Parts: sequence; structure tokens; C-alpha cells
Amino acid sequence: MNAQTLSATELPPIDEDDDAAPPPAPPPPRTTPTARSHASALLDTTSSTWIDEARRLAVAASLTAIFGVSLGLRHGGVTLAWGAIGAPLGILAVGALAAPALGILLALANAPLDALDLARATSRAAAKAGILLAGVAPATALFVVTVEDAITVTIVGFGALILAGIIAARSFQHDLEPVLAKTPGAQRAVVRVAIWAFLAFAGTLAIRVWFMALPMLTVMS
Amino acid sequence: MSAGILDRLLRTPKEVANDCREERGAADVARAAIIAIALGAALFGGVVGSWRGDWQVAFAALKLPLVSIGTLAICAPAFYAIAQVFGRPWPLRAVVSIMLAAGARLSLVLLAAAPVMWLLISLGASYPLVKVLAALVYGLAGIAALALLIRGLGGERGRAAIVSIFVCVFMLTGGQLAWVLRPYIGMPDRSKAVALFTKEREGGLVYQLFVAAGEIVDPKPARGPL
Repeated sequence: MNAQTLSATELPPIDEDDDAAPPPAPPPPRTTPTARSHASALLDTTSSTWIDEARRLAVAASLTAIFGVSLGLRHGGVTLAWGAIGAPLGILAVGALAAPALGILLALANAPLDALDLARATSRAAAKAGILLAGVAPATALFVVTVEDAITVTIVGFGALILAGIIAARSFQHDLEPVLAKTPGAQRAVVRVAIWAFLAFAGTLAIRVWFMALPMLTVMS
Repeated sequence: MSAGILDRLLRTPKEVANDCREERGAADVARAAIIAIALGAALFGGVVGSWRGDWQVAFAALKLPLVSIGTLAICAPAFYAIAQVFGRPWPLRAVVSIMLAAGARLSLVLLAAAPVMWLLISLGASYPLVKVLAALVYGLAGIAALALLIRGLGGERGRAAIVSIFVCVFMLTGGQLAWVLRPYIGMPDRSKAVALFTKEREGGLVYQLFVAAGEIVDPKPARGPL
């Protein structure tokens, strides 16, 4: 019994007649506390503010930086910093350049979508990508450090980034499904095409940024 | 009791996986699992190393548990992350205990296969046969571990994706770690001394897989007169 339970337990006064006392209430049903991980808190879908979404994006970028550091381990030194900066750049580029463009497009199509909803979908997608990349970072580090041939580093590195991108795209699309459901028939097709075009653009943009910002994945040495 | 947990691991993997997921006795499962992984892999490693004999028995018995536990340690964050992004908000402790339970199941299969392997080696099995059999046993043990993992994931959406991605990460990581710490059976050339690690530069696992695939697609011409 902990201190909180002790303080919450009501004992009858000593001088009170036992017969007059009400029958003891049945103990409340024991509920198992729902254990939530830090990652699930990061992926929370409850209402949020712009600051919350900015914070989520920043955490996503930090998690992606861990993956970048694992890529930099092959050469060490400055490449560690290059990796830590380069890997989150792809995600931040999508958040800062592609998502606002989609927002404008959807507003033109008069889709019933709040800018904050779009920011939430974007930051949640980025967070999922970040969590995945941070999770595979130790395995990536093993490959980057131990393989002799550079092509394996390229395959493993881009493989992880592309997988994270696919998961992020799926999350983004899933989060915008309610918006699609609320959109009237004729506009729905426009919104759907806009989202698909955005995903294609975002994927290409991210790969291009990673190609430029992560030279350790493209230099064959 | 460790023996009871190991028995449950073999007979009722779903129950064990559920207990791990809900963090009921997860610490006991983890403790028993680590012992099982270390013992099973060490014994199987020792048996495989007995093909060459000498110090190779001790080297392989030392390295195989390192590969097993090292792979689980490296893959735990990946499994946690994959579970999270596919809508399973489990704490890291639950994820690690499920992984350890799956690893223990794998090691128990290795433990069961060790006497059969030893008998074949003592009957004079060749180097390629031992190599293929060891891979086969590992494959079977992997299926046993996978069964627990699949049950542990529950029936919610995304199970196939989690399993596919995780198996891919696990096999690549385990394969690379095993590659780095090779040899286990020992060098077929008996004139060479037994060594803890090979000094030959042969690329990595993925590179060798590419080379092997290339040779299948474009086989080298047969040498000598036909």
C-alpha cells in the first residue's frame, strides 16, 4: 500500500457505533494501468497546438539525426556531424517546402482541411519516420562499420530511408482519410489526386535532399 | 522457476507472448530466456566447432551466444520502433521480453538439434554437409521463434508488415554479425591453424549474397574438358 492509497483510505471514527456504520463499499475494480511508451506519446492524435506540432517535428528530426550519426560512423570525425545534419534535412524539407504547397492546393480545391490538421498529419508522419530510423540505427551502424564494400552501405542506408519514407507516406495518407470522407463527391477526386501528387513530390524531394546531404551514401569508398 | 518458463515457451508460446506484452512476469521470462539463449547457442556452437576440433570448439561455443545475444540487442530498438509505427504502443520492456522469449525458443531448438549434429560429425560428415545442416537447423529454429513473435503481435492490423520488416532486419543483422565473427565450423583446409577470427577480406554478407546471385544468373563456364 503506498502513501497515496493510505491517505485515500477513510477509517471510521473510534467512538462510532459499528452497527450504525454503513456497510463497507465494495472495493473499486482493479484496473491495470495502461503502460504507454514514449514513442506512442509522440504519435498521439489528440488535439494539439502549433507549438506541439513544431515540437513533434523537432523530436522527429532529432531521432532521424541518430540514424545520420550511424551513417557517419564509417568515416568518423566530421562525417558524424554531416550525417546528423543531412538525415533530418530530407524530412524537414518535406515539412517546410512540400506540406505548405499541399496546403495551398487543398485550399484552392476548397477542401475542408484546417492548416493545423495538415501540420499534425505531417509531423506525425515525420515522427513515425524518425522513430523507425532511430530504431534501425544500431543495425545500420553494424553494417556501416563492418562491411568492406561501400555498395552495402548505400543499399542499407537508402533502404532504411526509403522504408521510413513509405511508412511516413502511409501515415500521412491515413491521417487525411477523414478529410477525404468529408469532402463532397466532385472535390474528393481533386483532393485525392493532390494528396497522391504531394506524396510523389515529397518522396522525390526527400531522396534528392538525402542524395546531396549524405555523401557517405553515394561515395564509393 | 526457469524450467517451468522454458516449458511454457515450448508448449504455449501464445500465453508467454501475451504475458510479456502485458508485462506479467516479464523479468522472469527475460532471465530464463537469457540463460537458455546462452546455453543453447554455446552448446550448438561447440558441436559445430567439433568438426575441426581443438580450440575451434571453445571459439565457436563462445562466439555463437555472442551472435545470438548481440543480434537481439541490436534488433531490439528496431522491433520497438516497427511496433510503434504500426500502432502497437508497447513499452520497451514488453518488446524486449517478447524478443528474448523468441530468442530462447530458437536456442532451445538449437539445443535439441545439437546431439543429432554431433552424431553426424562423429560419423564423418563433410564440411559442406555440416555447413548446410547448420543453416537448416538455424532455419528451423528461426521458424519456431517466428511463431512466438507472430502470436505476440496479436491480431491487430499491420501484423504482416511488422513481421516482414522485422524478419528482414533481423536476418540481415544476424547474418552480418555472424559473418563478422566467423568462422564457426573452422577452415576446411586442415593445414591452416585454428583462428578466433578469419583475416581474409571477403566483403560483407550482402556483397556475398550479390556475388552468389550473380553466379546463379551468369554461371562461370565449367573448367576442363567436357
